[in-house]
Amino acid sequence: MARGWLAAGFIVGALTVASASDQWPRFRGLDAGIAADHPALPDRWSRTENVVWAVDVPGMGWSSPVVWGDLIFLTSAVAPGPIDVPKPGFYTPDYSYPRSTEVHRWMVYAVDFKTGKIRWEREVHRGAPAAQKHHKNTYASETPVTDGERVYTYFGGIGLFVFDLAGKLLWSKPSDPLQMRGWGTAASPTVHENRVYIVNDNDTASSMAAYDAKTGDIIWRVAREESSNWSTPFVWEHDLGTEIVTTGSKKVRSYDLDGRLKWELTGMTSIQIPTPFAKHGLLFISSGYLGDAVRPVYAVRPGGSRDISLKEGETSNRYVAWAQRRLGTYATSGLVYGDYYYSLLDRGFLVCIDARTGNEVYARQRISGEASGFTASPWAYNGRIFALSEDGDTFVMQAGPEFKLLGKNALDEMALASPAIAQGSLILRTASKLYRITNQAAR
Amino acid sequence: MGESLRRHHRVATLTARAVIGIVITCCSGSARFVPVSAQTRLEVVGSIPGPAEHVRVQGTYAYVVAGPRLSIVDVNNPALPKVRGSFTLPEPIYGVAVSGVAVYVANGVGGLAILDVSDPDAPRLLGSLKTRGVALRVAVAGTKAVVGDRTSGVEVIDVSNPAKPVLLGSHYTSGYVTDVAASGSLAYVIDASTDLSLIDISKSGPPDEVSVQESSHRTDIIATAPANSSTRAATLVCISGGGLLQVYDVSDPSTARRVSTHKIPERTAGQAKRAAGPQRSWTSVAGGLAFDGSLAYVAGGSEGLQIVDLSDPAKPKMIAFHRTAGPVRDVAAAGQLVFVVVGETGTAPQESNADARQAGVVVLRRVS
Repeated sequence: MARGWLAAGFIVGALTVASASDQWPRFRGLDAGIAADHPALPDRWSRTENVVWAVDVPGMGWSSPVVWGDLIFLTSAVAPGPIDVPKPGFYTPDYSYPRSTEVHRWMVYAVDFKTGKIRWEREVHRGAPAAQKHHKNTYASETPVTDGERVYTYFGGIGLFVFDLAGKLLWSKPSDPLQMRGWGTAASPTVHENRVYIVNDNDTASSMAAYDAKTGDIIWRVAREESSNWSTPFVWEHDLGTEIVTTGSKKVRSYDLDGRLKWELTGMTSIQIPTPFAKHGLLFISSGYLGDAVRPVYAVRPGGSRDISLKEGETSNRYVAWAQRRLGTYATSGLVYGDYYYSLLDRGFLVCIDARTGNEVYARQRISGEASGFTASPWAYNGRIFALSEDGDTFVMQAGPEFKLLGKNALDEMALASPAIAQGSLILRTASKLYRITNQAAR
Repeated sequence: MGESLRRHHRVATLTARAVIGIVITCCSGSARFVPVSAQTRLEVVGSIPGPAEHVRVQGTYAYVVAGPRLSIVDVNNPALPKVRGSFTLPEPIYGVAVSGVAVYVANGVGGLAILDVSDPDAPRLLGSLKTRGVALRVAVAGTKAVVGDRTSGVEVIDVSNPAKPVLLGSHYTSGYVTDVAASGSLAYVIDASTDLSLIDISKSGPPDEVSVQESSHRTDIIATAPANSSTRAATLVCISGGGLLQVYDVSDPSTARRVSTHKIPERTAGQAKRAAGPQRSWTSVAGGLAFDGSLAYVAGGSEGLQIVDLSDPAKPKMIAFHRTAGPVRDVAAAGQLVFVVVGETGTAPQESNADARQAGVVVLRRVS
C-alpha cells in the first residue's frame, strides 16, 4: 500500500443519512455546488474541530473527491520523495515549467466513507511524466465521475480508466501526451446515459469524444477549433432536449448527443477553465481570464441554434437572457443558490446578482485582503456560501441579498480542489490530506 | 541615430503656432480636426542612440532602458547627450522609477532591483527583492516602493534601507496589474479589469484598499499629476489606454472621481501586441504618460506624442502633437525638455520607411 492513509486519531464517528440524493458523483455534484440542507453539515471546522477523520493522501492531486454510497473516490499522482507543495496565490515562479524526470505513479483510490480507510487502490500508469505542467497544477487534476455502477477516472495525456465499484478495471483508453501551454491538464470527464464524454482541448489537435460507458468503444469524435482549455463539459437537460455544452476560449459550443453542433457563442476570454451549469431554466457560462478586460458571464436560454452570439453593444438576445461583462471568473465556477448568482472572483471578491435577470444585488465585496487567491469553486448549504482559498481557509458568508462574512475555517494547508458534500459531511481535500468534516453538535 | 532620424523629426514635427486646427488620424483611419488653443510647438534638440524602451529624467540625467540594460545619460547639454555609465541586470527591465540617487527597477521575474546612481559613471546594484510574480512596473513615494507584479497584484516594499528592501505587504486587484503610480501615502493601481484602485501604503502589513473606481475603458498607463505641495498627495491622476485619456480627481481618495475623458489617437492594442512580438505581448504596453505642470505628455505609439493641457481637468485640450518616424513608446518630461522613446518602425505597411528604421530617444524642447 502506498505511504500515508494514516487515519488520524480523532475519529469521532459517522453521521450518515444515506439516500440517493446524498451522492456526490461528479465535479461539483449534481446541483453545481449546492447540497441539500442538513443539520450535520458544518459551518465551523479546523484541523481538529468537527473532523470525523483526516487521512494523508499520497502524492499530489487537485482532483475533487466524489462520493457514491460508502465510497469516496479520488486520484493522485505519486512521485518519490516528499511532496512538493507549491506556493498558493497567483504568481509566476519562472518562465518555464520543467518536466519532471522522476517516475510517478498515477493512482485511483477508493476510501471508506465511514472510517477514511482505504478500501482499494489501483495504479493505472507508472513512468516519468511525458508532458510539462504548471508549477501549481498536478498530474491528477481531473475529477473522477461515477454513475453508481462504474467509476470513470481520467488523466490527461495518460488515459481514461474505468473500474467497477469494487476496483476491477473494466476498460481503459490510453492517450498520447498533450501539449497544454506547458501547464498540464484538468478538464474532467462527464457521464450521461451510458456515455462518457471527454473534451480534449490542447495546443495540437483539439477534439471531443463520446465513449460507450460499458465497453469503452468510441461512439463519435469531433474536431474542435480550439487550443488549450481546462473546462469540463456539461450535459444540459432541459424541456427542449439534451445537449452537451463545452466552453472554449474561442467559442461556447453546444453539441447534440451525436456530436453535431447545435449552437455556438463567441465572446469568451483568452483561457477557459470554469464549468458551465444550469439552474432556473438557464445555462450559466463564466469566462474570466484575469488578463482580459471583458470577463463575461452569460445566461443562456434553451433552444438555440447556429450562432447565438451577442452583437456589439447587446447584453441580451433571443437566446442570451442576460450578459454581464465583468462578472466572469478565471478558475472558479459560478454558483446559483436560491434566486442569486454568486461569482467568486479568483482574487478574493464575491459578487451577487439576480440569477434570472442579471441585475446586480450587491457589487464586488472583498472577502479578505489576506487570502492568497481562490481556485476551488464555491459551494452552499444551510443558507451559507463557502469559499475555500488556496491557503486552505474556508470563508463562510451568509447567502442572500446582503454580503456578510460570518467566519473563517483554517486547515493550514494549500487547497485547490472543490469539495464533495454528501450524507451530512463535507469531504475536503488539501495538498496532503482528505478530511471528512461534520457538525458534531448535530449528532 | 543621429542625423537621419533627427532630420525626419524636424520634418515631422508639427507646429501649432500658426494653425488654428490640425488634422490627426485616428485609430480607425478617419480624419478629423482638433482645435488648438495654445501657442505650443516642439523642436528637436538632440537624440540618444537606441535601442530604447523606457526613459526617465531627473535633474540633468536621463535614464534609458533597453532590455536588461540601464544607461545613464548626461543631458546637461541636450543637444549633445553623453552616455556616462550603464548597468545590466539579469532580467529584462520592464519598469523604472528614479528617486534621489537611486533607480528602482521592475526586473521581471527578478523582482525589484535598486541601483545606486550617485556616481553616474559607475552605477551599482544596491539591493534587490524577489517578488512573487513578474515585476512589470514600479513607483516610489518616500521610503516605499510599489511594484506592479502582474499576476501577483501589488507589492509594497520598504526601501528606507535600499540595500535591504523589505516586503511590507501585497494586495490583489481584480485583474492582472497593468501599471502603478504612487504619491504621498497612496498607491494608484490600474489593472486588466479596468479598475483604478487607491491603496494606503502608509503602514506595514497588507495595505488597505481605500477605494476602487471601475472604468469602462481600457487602462494601460497611469501617472499622477504633480503633488499638492502642502499635503504631498496627488490631486489628479491620468490613465491612458484604448485611445482615451481619463482624468480622475483624487483629492478625496475615498471617492476617486472621473472628471473627464479625452480622446487621444494611439495605436490599437492589437498593433501594440504585434509590434511587441509573441514573447513580450503582455509586458510591452505601447505608450507612456508624463506630467509637467499642468501638461500631460501621452506616448501614442505610431500616432506620435500628444500634449494635453489639463489646467482645467474637466476640459482637457490637446495643444500639440509630434509625429515621429517610429512609434512613440515612452515619454519623460523635465521643464521644457521632453524625452521621447521612439521604437523601430516595425513591419506594419503604414510604418515602413527605409530611411527611418532606427530607434532611440529624441530630445525635444517645448517652445511656447
